[in-house]
Amino acid sequence: MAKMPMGNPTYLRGQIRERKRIGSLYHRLRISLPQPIGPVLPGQFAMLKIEGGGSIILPRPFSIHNFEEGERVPWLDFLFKVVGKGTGLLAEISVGSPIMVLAPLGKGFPAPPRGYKPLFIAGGMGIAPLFPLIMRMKSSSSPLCLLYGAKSQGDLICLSELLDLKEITIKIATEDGTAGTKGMVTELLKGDDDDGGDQIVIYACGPEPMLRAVSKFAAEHKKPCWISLERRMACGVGACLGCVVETKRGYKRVCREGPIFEAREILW
Amino acid sequence: MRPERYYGEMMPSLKVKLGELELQNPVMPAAGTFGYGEEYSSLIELNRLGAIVTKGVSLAPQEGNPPPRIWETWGGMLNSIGLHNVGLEIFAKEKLPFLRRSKTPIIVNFFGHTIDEYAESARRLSDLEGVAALEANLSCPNIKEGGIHFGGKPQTVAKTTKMIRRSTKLPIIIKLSSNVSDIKEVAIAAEGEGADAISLINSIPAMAIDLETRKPVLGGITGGLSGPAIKPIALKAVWEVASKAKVPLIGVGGIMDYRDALEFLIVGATAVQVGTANFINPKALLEIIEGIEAFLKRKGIEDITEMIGSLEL
Ligand SMILES: Cc1cc2nc3c(=O)[nH]c(=O)nc-3n(C[C@H](O)[C@H](O)[C@H](O)COP(=O)(O)OP(=O)(O)OC[C@H]3O[C@@H](n4cnc5c(N)ncnc54)[C@H](O)[C@@H]3O)c2cc1C
Ligand SMILES: Cc1cc2nc3c(=O)[nH]c(=O)nc-3n(C[C@H](O)[C@H](O)[C@H](O)COP(=O)(O)O)c2cc1C
Ligand code: FES
Repeated sequence: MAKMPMGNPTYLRGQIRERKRIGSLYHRLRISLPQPIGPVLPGQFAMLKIEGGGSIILPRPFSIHNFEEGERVPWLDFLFKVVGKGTGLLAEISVGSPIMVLAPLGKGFPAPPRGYKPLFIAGGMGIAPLFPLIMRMKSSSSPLCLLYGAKSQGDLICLSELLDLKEITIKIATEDGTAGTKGMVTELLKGDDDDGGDQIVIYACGPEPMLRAVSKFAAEHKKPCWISLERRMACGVGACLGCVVETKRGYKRVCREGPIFEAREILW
Repeated sequence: MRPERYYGEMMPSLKVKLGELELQNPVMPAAGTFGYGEEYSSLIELNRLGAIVTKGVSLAPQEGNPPPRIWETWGGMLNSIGLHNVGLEIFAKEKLPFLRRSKTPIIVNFFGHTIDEYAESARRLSDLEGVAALEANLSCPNIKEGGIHFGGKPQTVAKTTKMIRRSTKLPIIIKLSSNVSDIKEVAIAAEGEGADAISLINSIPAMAIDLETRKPVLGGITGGLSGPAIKPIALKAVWEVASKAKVPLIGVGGIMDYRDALEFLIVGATAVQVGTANFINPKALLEIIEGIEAFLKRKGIEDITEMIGSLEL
């Protein structure tokens, strides 16, 4: 199995540097850190402590969406969708506010095996951890391809930044047909299948039904496939055993053995 | 002002004793919230803790409950981890060597499904190098008694404690649940059979429902409530038991900061365990130790044992 990279987490009082609303439900946050952490790997996440009095006590996990590559990382970007209390409060947070950050956590995406071409598959918010991976790989020689699906055009976050990259081909699917092909992102896979005999490795993140479909495709076509999973979390560091997923080798902690897993390991 | 300068230079003693076991300070993690120590080791200096309490181990590895296993509630959280653990053998081989590297006493939390299993675990854990004390979690369902937890009845507590006592020379801590009709009786039963200390309380049986699906939110259907929401219940349990028991007590439940910790000492606890707070603030244990020290300095209290049972009625 490919080596799964990870590093030691740090707990710091960060500060909100920027908060940008993207459409009606999405936000981007930049958190500056009092001292640099690092290195950070694409696919790793952070626990953010959102102040919500008694109604929110546990920190929330978010993928690290963007960061400056290097040994010392002075700020972290997050991309999030408002789905409940915590993300609702985070969407209102003012620039300059302090926020406790525990990062980097979990394992990052492993590099593609030699000679393999990466295929990225994102569903909605799933673009968050894939974005820094794309940024890292865009300088490699092999051509990149992203299949990007969402409910509607407005849910294709980061699309303009991605379209600016000349190194990547993007195919889009929306459920309502407002952009790209109408339908599910997994349907784009069928077209990709007869792309010549290239060796591909899949990197996917998105809603669980999508990941299940991608895993099935990868298994049927014998493609290596890495997915990023989400679970409710308490500690984020592997101590509470609260975030487990059932795998072929028993329950594994998403925060520690994941969030990046090899798709064929998961019992769906 | 002279007294203040004097207080500023004073180094209060934070040392406490749980039977034979001496601790440099009374603050330790609660079982199951600190993994096997290693998980938090890059975030917290393990050497500064009063003790390290491990995740509960059993003779055989246990898979635990199906997910979802955690749920947030107002001021607390539910967990239905279901005592998922690596089992005694892997604990000894893979987890204990790391813990031994720190000079902090290691307290191994353990449980069984029968009294014999408790005794057997105690015996085998005592053979391991580097274990300072054992903490028996009696909140586990007793399969021979229709799943009522071992801590439920004074007779069962007495019997279980007695068998553990016979199986080990290490100090034993009996950890009780507040889910009983009279916690004093249960605690006295443990004390009578040789418990060196008593921890109270475990998380409180509870549940949560998803209105949309009408399903329980936890894979285990019910779970245990922990966090700030349970602190008043835990405080009362410690206070009640302190009025009857002579052995030292360890207060557990909803401790978030040094104030909470000291309140437990005031009602009669000798030491405290901090659980859910670790998830909220991974430096909570250290901040509590530092906060206690600063408080004692501020008040000119030279020895923390002056706080124990100092409740003014
Ligand atoms: C490793 C990891 C990376 C993540 N990265 C991102 C990201 O980059 N951007 C983003 O928007 N979200 C991300 N999530 C999901 C995010 O953590 C949840 O959306 C968030 O915790 C919800 O908090 P809330 O208080 O708003 O929701 P709550 O009020 O607690 O719940 C509202 C809804 O959110 C769901 N939910 C709650 N917690 C989680 C969770 N931990 N994982 C998945 N669903 C959850 C609940 O099932 C519920 O339907 C990630 C989760 C994990 C585990
Ligand atoms: C995730 C989790 C796992 C736990 N596992 C154990 C365990 O293995 N053994 C045990 O005796 N108590 C266990 N407990 C109970 C805690 O040790 C503690 O008694 C309880 O959480 C109350 O303290 P708190 O409010 O500070 O968390 C667990 C609690 C949580 C939240
Ligand atoms: S969140 Fe605690 S083990 Fe993963």
